[in-house]
Amino acid sequence: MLTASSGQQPQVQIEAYFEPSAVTLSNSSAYKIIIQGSQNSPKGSIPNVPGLEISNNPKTFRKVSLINGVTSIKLELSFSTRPTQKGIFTIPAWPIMIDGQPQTVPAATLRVLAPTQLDIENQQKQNQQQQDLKQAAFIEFSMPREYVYEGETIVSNVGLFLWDRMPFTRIENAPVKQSEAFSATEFGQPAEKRNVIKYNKNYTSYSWKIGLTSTTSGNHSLSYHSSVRVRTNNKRSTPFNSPFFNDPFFGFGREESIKVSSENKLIEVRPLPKSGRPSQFNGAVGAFKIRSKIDRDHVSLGDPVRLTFSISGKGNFTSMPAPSFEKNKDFKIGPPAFSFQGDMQTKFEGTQNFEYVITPLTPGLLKVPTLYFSYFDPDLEKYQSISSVEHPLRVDPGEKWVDQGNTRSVGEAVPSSKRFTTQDLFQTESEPGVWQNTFISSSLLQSIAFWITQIIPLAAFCLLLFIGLKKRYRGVQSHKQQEITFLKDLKKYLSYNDSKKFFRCYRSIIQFKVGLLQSHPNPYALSSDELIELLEKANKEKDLISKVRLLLIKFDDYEFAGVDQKTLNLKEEFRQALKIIKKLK
Amino acid sequence: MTRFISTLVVLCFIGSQSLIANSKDKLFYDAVRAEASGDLLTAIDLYEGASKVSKSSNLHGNLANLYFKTEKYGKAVLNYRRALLLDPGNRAFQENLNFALETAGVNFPKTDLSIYLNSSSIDFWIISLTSTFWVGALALAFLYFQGWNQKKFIFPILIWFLLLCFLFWGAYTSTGNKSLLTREVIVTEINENESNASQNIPLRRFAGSGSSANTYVKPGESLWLNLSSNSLLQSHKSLSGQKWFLVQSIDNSKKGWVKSDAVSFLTRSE
Repeated sequence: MLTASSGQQPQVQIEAYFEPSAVTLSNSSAYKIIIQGSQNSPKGSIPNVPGLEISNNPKTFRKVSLINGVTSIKLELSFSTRPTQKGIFTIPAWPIMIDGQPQTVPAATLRVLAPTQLDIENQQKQNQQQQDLKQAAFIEFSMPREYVYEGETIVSNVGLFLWDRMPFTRIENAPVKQSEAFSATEFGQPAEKRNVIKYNKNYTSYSWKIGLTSTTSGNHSLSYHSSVRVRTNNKRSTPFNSPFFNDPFFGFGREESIKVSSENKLIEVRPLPKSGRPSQFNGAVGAFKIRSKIDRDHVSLGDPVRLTFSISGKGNFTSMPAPSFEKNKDFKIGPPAFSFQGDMQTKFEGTQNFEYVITPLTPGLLKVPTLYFSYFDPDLEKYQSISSVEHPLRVDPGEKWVDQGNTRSVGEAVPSSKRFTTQDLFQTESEPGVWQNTFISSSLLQSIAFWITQIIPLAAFCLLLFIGLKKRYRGVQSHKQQEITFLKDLKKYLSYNDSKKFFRCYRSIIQFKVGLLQSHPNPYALSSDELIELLEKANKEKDLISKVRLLLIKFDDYEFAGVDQKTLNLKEEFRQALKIIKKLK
Repeated sequence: MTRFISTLVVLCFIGSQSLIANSKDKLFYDAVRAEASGDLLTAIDLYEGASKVSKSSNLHGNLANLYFKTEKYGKAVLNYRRALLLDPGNRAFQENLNFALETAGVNFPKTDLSIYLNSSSIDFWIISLTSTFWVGALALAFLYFQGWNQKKFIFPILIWFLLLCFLFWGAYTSTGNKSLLTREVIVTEINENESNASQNIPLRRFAGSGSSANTYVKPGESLWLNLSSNSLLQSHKSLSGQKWFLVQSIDNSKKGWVKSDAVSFLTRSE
C-alpha cells in the first residue's frame, strides 16, 4: 500500500493501490484511489500502462464520519483492471485536480502471475460460449467489390444462417438494411438450403438476391438485421443465456423473438468522375447496349408511329431516366412508356424499353430523331456514349382535296363576284386536344367550393362586427356609468348643502357631456371659453349655450370670487342642472 | 362484401371511362385518316360519332372544315361556333367562322361589348362582385368601429354601391346571355330528299308543313327559341311525330315555327 499527502493542501490525503495486489493473468484486480478530505469528484486521467487494461467507468463510494468530534470525509474510486501479460506493472504518480487544487496520486504496483490450469479452462469455456452464441444465428452478405460508384447497382446475396440444433420456429422478417446510403430492391421469397456446413456446424440457410444501389458517395457502413422466433423452455432464461445446456428441443416451451445481425461492413462509395462527363449523361451506371426500332416506316400524316428504344445489359435500371430527344420540328413526341424485362428481383440485368409515340407533322421522307444515351462503365471506369440509328420514315400527306368551288350550285349563298377558296381554312388538327363534356362550363354559382369560400369573409365580417359592437357597448356603458356617478355626487352634495363641491361637480358634468359631444380626448381640461366654442360647433340651441355660459360664470364666481352662499337655493339649481344635462345629450 | 361491391363499381367506372376515352380517340384518329385519304363523308360520320361521346375544340373545328368543304354552311357555322365555345380565344376558328358566314351570306352582328358579357365571363363578374362586396363591407365596418365620422362615409359608400351595381349588372347580363345561348339554335340544311331549290328554311305561321311561311332564313343563321309564360321552350308535336319550335331572330324581325330537324341547338348535341 502506498500513501501520499500533498504538501500544498495538508487536509487532503490521497492513497492509491491495487486490490488484490497480485493476480494471475486471467483474473482482474481493482485499482483504488482513496481521497480523504474531499467528496467532490476529482479531475484527471490515469496514465496508460502497457499490459494493463483499466476501465474508464469507476465505482465510487463516499463516506462521512465523526470521530472524536472531528468530521472525516472519504471518497473511494475503484477502477476494474485486467492484465494482458504477466509481469510487474506500476502506475506512476500522476496529477489530479481536487476542489480546483492540484494534487498528486501516488504510484501503485500490480504483480501479474502466470495463469493457473483452472484459469485457462474457464477462459476457454467462456470463449467457446461466446463463439457458440454468435454462431447460432447470423447473417452474411456478399459484395462483388470493396468499393462501388455513386448510383451503381450491384447484386448482393444476403444469407441468414440458422443452426440446426436451435429450435427456430420461423423467420419473423426478411433482413432489413441498416444504411441510408444504399437503396435495395425488395426481399422476395428466399432460397432455402439445408445441411450447410459452417464453423463445423450444420445450418439451414435462407438467401435473398437483391439489387443494391448506392445513393451518396463516401465511406458508409452497411449491415442487415432480422428477427427469428425460437422456442425456449419455461424457465426464466432466454435461449441465449444458456442456449445449449437446457432442453430446447422438447417440452411445451414458449416462443421468443431474437435479433440476428450481420457484421458491419465499411463500403467505399466513389463519386462519379466529373471529367469527361457527356452532356447527355442521366445517371446510368453499368455496361449497356442500345437498340431502337419503329413499328412502321410508311404512314399517313397524323398517324402515330411507335419508336421503341431498348437499353440492355447490366446496371442501375431502377434509377435510369428515359433519354430525351432534341427538339424537332417535324415530329410531335409524347412522353415514353416504361417496361422492363429481365431479372425482376434485382433489376440489375435485363432490358429496359422506352416506347415513344411520335406523330409526324409534315409530309415527306423524314428521319426519326436520334436518341443519345450516355453511361458510366464502372469496370472501365470511364463514360461511354452511344446513339440510336436514324430510321427513315415516309409520311404520306393523303389524297389531296380538290376545290369544288367551280361546281357549286348554291349560287344564292355566295355572291358571284366573290369566290372563296378552302385554302383559307385552318389546318386540320391531327390531335383531338382537351376533351370536355359540355360546351358551356358550369357557373361559379353552382360550385359548392365557391359558397364555402364565402364563409371566410362572412366570418371575418361577423367577427369584426362582434368585436366593434362589444367595444362600443363597453364605451357607452362606461360613459353612462360615469354620468350616473356624477349625478349621485351632485345629489350627495345637495343633501350636504355643500355649494362649492356641488358646483365643482356640476362643472365636471358639463365638461364631460360637452367633451362627449365632440369626442374630446380630455374634456376635464376644457376651459369655459373652449366649452362654449365646442357647443357652438355642435350647433346647439342659442338659449342652451347662453344658459351654460351663465352657469360657467356662476361656477367661477362661487369657486374663485367668494360670492355669498346664503342666498343660494341648491334645490332649484339641481332641478335646472337636470334640465341642462338632458339637453346636452 | 360492401368493400368488394364498391371496388367492383369503381373498377367498372374506371373501365367504362377508359373505354369511352379510347373510343373517342379512336374515332377522332380514324376520322383524321379518312379525311387525309379524301373520304370526307366517312370522316364526317366518324367526327359526329366522336362528338356524341365527348367534345373538343379541334374535333368541332375539323368537323366544321369538312362541312364547309361539302358546302353545308349551316353545319359549318354551327361547328365553328361550338369550337369557339370550347376554345374562345382561338383566332383561327373565329376567322373561319367569319369566312363561313360570309360564304353563307349570313350577317352575324357582334359588338365588342358582348365579348365581356358572354357566358364565359360570368365567373369574372361574380368573383369581382363578391370580392368588391366583401372588401368594401369589411373596410367600412372597420372604419366605422375605428370611430370615423358618419359624414365621411357618404362618399366611399356611394362609390362602393355604384361599383356593386355595375358589377351586379355585368353578372346579371352575362347570366342572361348564357341563358340566351342555351336557347340559341343554328339553322342547318334541310334533308336532301326534300325539294327546296333555294335551300332557305321557311318560318311558318303555324306548326305544320301546310302553313304558309312568314319569312325565310338561311343556313347558318342564329335563331332563339321562344319561351312560354311558364318559362318552357315553346314547341309542338304534330300527329306525324314531327316536332316544331317557335323561334325568332335576336331583333325579333323574323319569327315563326320551324321543324326541329332544320335547326340544331348550339350547346346541345343531338
